[in-house]
Order: sequence, then structure tokens, then C-alpha cells
Amino acid sequence: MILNNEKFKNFEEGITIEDLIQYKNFNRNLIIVKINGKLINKNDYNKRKLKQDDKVEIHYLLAGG
Amino acid sequence: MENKEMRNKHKILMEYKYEPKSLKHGYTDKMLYVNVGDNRIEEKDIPEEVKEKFIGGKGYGMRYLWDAVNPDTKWDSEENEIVMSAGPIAGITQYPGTGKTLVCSISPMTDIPIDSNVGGYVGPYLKFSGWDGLEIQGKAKEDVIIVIDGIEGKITIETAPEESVDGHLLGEQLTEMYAKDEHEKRQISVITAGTAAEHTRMGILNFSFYDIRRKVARLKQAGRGGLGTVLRNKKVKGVVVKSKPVKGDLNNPFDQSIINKTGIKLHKEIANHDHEQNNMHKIGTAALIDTMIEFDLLPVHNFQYGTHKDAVKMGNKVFINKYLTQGMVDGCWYGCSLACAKAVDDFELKTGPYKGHKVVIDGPEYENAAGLGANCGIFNPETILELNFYCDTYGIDTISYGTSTAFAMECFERGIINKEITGGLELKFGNEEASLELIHQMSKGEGFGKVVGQGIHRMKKIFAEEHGADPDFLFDIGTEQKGLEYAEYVCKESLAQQGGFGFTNKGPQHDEAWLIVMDMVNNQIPTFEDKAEALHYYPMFRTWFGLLGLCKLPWNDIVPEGNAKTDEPAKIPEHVQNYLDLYYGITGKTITPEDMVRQSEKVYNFQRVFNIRMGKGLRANDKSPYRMMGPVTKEEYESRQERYDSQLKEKVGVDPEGKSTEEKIKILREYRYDQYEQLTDAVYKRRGWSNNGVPTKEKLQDLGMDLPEVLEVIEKHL
Repeated sequence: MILNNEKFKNFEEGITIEDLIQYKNFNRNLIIVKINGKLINKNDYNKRKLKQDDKVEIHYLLAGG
Repeated sequence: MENKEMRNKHKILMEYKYEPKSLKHGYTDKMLYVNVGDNRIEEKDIPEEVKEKFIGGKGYGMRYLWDAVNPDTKWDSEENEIVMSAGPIAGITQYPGTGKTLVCSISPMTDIPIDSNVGGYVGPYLKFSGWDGLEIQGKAKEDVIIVIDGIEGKITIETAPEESVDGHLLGEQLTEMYAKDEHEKRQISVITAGTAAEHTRMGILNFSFYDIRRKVARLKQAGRGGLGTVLRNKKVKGVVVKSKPVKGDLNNPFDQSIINKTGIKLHKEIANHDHEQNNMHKIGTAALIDTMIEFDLLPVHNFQYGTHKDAVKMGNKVFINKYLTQGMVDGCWYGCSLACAKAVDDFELKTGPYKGHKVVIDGPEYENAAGLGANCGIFNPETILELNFYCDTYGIDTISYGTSTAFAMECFERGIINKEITGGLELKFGNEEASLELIHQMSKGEGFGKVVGQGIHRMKKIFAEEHGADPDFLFDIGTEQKGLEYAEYVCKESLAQQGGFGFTNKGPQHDEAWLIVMDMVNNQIPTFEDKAEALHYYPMFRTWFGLLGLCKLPWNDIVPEGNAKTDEPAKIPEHVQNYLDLYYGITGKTITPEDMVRQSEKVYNFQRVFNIRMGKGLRANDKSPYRMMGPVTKEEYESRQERYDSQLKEKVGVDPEGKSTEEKIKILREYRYDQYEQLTDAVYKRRGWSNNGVPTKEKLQDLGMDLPEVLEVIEKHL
């Protein structure tokens, strides 16, 4: 699986977007998730299981300084 | 002494009467010039060409400062000016974050132009009093104040022998002195510095706003670059601006209804989403602390590390639950529902001349907590708050103080300096008492505090020349560039942010481009070209706020609901459209997002050339100390060995196996220097600059900024 343009080393079959969010410790209200270019609804973070050939983008919109 | 008695001791040195000109479409087209050296007060018409090219705010600041100084001008020269201007949108009350003032001067830290943005009421009140901007030039012979009374149409330069210098006292004194009653205090805004601004180079300006619920003059800071040092060098104690009462239409906008509509939209967004996004109304910019800890970005021990086991002691919840007063109206300008100007009430000071006093502390901002705290190894929130208070009232930049003290502490721990040199101060990381003593010394102009108050650039020279330190090592760990201390983010793992700091005009401040998350966390801008594009767009976009009198926070510290569905969510396109609507509402002119960038580019390139004119602004001046690029020491490398070893293997193509830490540091350093050089090439190309960082003639022509005085400067370097 590709996460944000890099191979995700800790991929395990069956993990969900929610698992990834927790792994990354992101505030789910500040992220945008796309799988293979398609925007994923927040309600589906728990449902969508990720596959080995998925290209995932999780963009954290932290505004910062 | 009573305020009335103090005022009786004033001597009026000059009085100037005028008819305050009303605003039209956000402008009065008048600049106020005050020379405290020969007590001259004049008004200047702002030419249409200046308005068109420089817009307002920082644009006006840079234009008038350029005209006032020459290439030999130093920060303490008679002709150096403090120029301030709020910009055409500033002063509306319908949209959050619309009260900013930009202040410019030749900086005591960098010897080039500095610009610093600040909240509080001064900028809008100047506009309502008939002035798009204010220039202060010359040096008074004795302590004076400048009083701009926009109600009476009267400006005075008055001696002020008895007033306090420290910001929290002087702010109160002058507010009370020039208000007829409690109600009128809200119509007064005051500029002060502080006692340490007289003895250090990192002096700030405090801009007040009267908090009617707390009944206190709150202070916001134009913090960077030593503006307060310049003010006190001119022997100006304070500036008072008195305005007619605020109304929503004082800017006399072209189309009020579009401003109202845009404002209501954002207020709703904030009400619905701030609590689940950044929580700005509860904690302000300190909301960043926890995330910085999480991502290993919080500066610890002079930027050596990105987190610490005790960092949780200064986490977000600690400030929200224990210190910050909730439920107050904490906007630093009317109508700001983001309300991030948080405060701690009834804080009892434990040290210094105000020991035992119960005070209101404005903050802590993220930078204050990180710089005064973690970077110096201090994680006690009460010490952070006490340092925050004293920085403000003494008139010291919290960022330069934090970063400079952290540097001095590392030098102490490494034996570069010792107790003999520090005057007995055990300047180790985490020594709260030593940091507090240092700050009180700065106020009095005594001891080692006076040395640290000169900033890292000058400390490096002193430590090398007088104490035999290795200048190369000091260059590595001294986190300053162009003479200004770095703001409080560890950027070793974000090349784009290294550039975000490194290619700034004024020195490494985060207000041009904050790309750490976009780069390091999201890996959204992987190539040099991607990074260069971001390092063009974001600094230009954010410069626009400084031209118009806007705060950056309502742009991207709150995100609209449909943002994810847009093409470029990081730019918050809906909010960009809000700004275009506000610009139209005020001026009646329709512009595009590309026009915004172009407006900024004009001023940005002018400032770059201004830097060159003053002796900096070339490629050599954009280099970074290695501490901000990678691990300088064995301890740093080994603390994150797994990360660096894997980078050597995957990015550099070198097997770390069997190599000593020193060897690995050297290889990584060469790689990262090379990356930075390649990024420099890409950014200069994108910005239309030569390989030496000089805006080209073609670029300036394209922008319409091929002014004769500008071309004269660059021609020597192309």
C-alpha cells in the first residue's frame, strides 16, 4: 500500500482507514482521505478496508504557525 | 504618583491641529509624519502610484522606510524610522481577524528592514483618526510621548518624565490619562515598549486594546526584530491614539452588504466547527503544543530534540483547565469570533519588581510556551507564564529571548561559557531561576542578561573572540539567520520548512511559510519543484495579509465544511474567495487569486531588493545553521538513530552498518546541505531571481516594479 507517496511498511491485510488515523494519531476533523484519488466520507473510515495495491492519501490540514 | 499629577508634568513640545479626513473605500490617502528630533509634525498625501503598487500595511511600511533611510543607515541612526500602517481592510468589524497593523524599521537584530504584525487597536484607530499610516523619525532629547487625538483633530509631542516604562503599567497609565471616563477607555489604544527594550536589541512594541470586562489595557506584541529597541532609542516612551467610537462602516466601504454577508458566513463556520478543529477560542495558538510534541517538532534544549518526557506538563489541557480564563471576549479587534487572544487572570508573580502583584497575562501563545519553556528545558507552566509576563512588560521578544537563552544554555552545558562568564548564573537547561534572573537583568541592563539580550548573532562573536569558542561549532548550534533568532519549530525533517525559514526576507520567522505538516507529515510536495512552488505561493499569499491589515488565523485555523471536496484543500479556496469578496467590498475593485499573489510579489521583491541595498539579501544570507537542518552532535544523532540510519540507507544510498556515529553525521550533513542547495536553486528560479538570489530586471519589469532606485541596486549584482 502506498501512503502519501511512500510505501507503508506496517501494512496488514484488513486494516481500515480508522486504524491508520489512530496509528498516525491525527485529529479526524482535520484530515482529508482519498483512496485511489477518490475522496472518502468520514462515516466510511471504519468500513473501508485497505488493500495492498491501494494508493492512500491522508492529508492533515494542520494550519500551524 | 497619580496619573493627573504625571500629566501635569508634561511639557507640550509641539501641537498640530488638523481636520481628520474620513475614509473612503478603506483609505484616507494620508500619512502622518512625526519627527521627535526637531518636533516636526507633517501630513503627507499618499500618491496614487504608491497606493497602486504598495497597497498598504507592510507595503507602505517598506516604501516610506526606503525613502527615509540610506545604505549606511543603522538601527540607531537619526533617520531610521518606525513606520506603521494597517491596510485598507483593517478596521472592519464584520469579519474575524481584521485589525492588524504592520510595523517596519531597520532592525537592531538584522541591520535590514524588519516587519512585524500586531493586533490591538492602534492601526484601525489611526485610520479612523485620518491616517493610513504613521512615520516616527528622529531622536528626542528627553522622554516623550506622541498623542494623536482623532476626535479633537490634534497631535502633540509631549515630554513624559514621570510615567513608567514597563508596558503593563504605561499602558494603563496612558489609557486612563487620556480617557475622560471608563467608557472612553475603549477608544484609546497605546503603544509602549519596556525597560528591557532600552538595554537589549530584541525590544518589542506592545499595542493595547482595552478589555472592558477585565477593566485592563491588554497588550498585543509587534515582537520581531527589535522595534521596541528602536522606539526607546528615539526616547519615545509611548504613542497614544484616541479615536471616535467604532462603528461597522467607518471604512466607508464600496459595498457594505458583501462584507456583512461574508462575515456572517465565517462566524457561523467558527461557531459550528472551531471546537472540533483547532479549539482556538479556548486556547489560542497554544493549541499547537500537543501536536508539536506528537510529531517530534517541539524545540527542546536548543532545537536538539523534538520532544521530552516532561513536555506533557505544558500540554494544551494544562493551560485550558488550569490557567486560561474561558468565556471572555478575547478578540484583539472588534468582531473577531475566533477570539484567540487568551489570557490568564489574577496570576500572582513570584519574582522581580512586581513580585506579589496579581496580573493579567496575555498568552501564552504557542511560540512563548515553546521558546520560553521547552527550548530552555523548562516545562513548568507557571514559570512559562511568569517569563511570558515579564517579556511583555519589559518589552522583550519571546521568540528571540527563548531561542537566545536556549543557545546560551547549550553553550554553558558544553563548557563554552562558565559561571565566571555568566556572573554566577548556573545556566543549565531547566534552570527556571536562572532564566528569570536573566530576564530581570535585561530589564536593568546588567550582568549576563545584557549579553544574551544582544541575540545569538552577537553572542557567537563574543564567545568566539573573547572566550575562545570554536566559531564553526557556534555557527552550527546558533539558531539565527540574518541576525534573527529562529521561531520555535524543529524543522530538521522538513526540507521545505528549512526553506520556509531560510528564504524569508526578514529572517527565520514562520509567518511566510509554515510547510512542516504539508511536507513532513503529508509528503504532499515531494520534489524540489513542488517545494519551490509552495515556497513561492504561500509566502506571497501570506504577504497579502500584511498588505491589507489581516490576521492569518481565520484563513486556515478554521476550515469550512466542504473544503475536502475542493481541488486544493490546503489553500482553503472558500476562504480565499472570502478575501476577494472583502477586497471588492472595501475598494470596489475585482481581483483574482493570481492578482493577490501579484500584489504581494511587488512588495516582496521590493523588500528583497531593500535587503540587498542594506547589505544582505543574497544567497549567502539565506544559508541555515546546521542545527535546523540535521543532527549536529553525537547525542542528537543517536537519540534518533533508527530514523537517521534508515535515511542513510534509503535516501543517501549508504549502508550505515559498521560506520561510527561521527562518520554517519558527516555523510548525512553533506547530503542535507546538497538538498538545501538544490532547493535554493529551485526556489530562486520559481521566484524569478538570479542564482545569487537577486530579483532579475525582467521579473521586476513584469511586476511593474522596475523603479529607477530599485534597478540601481540590483544592477550591481546581476
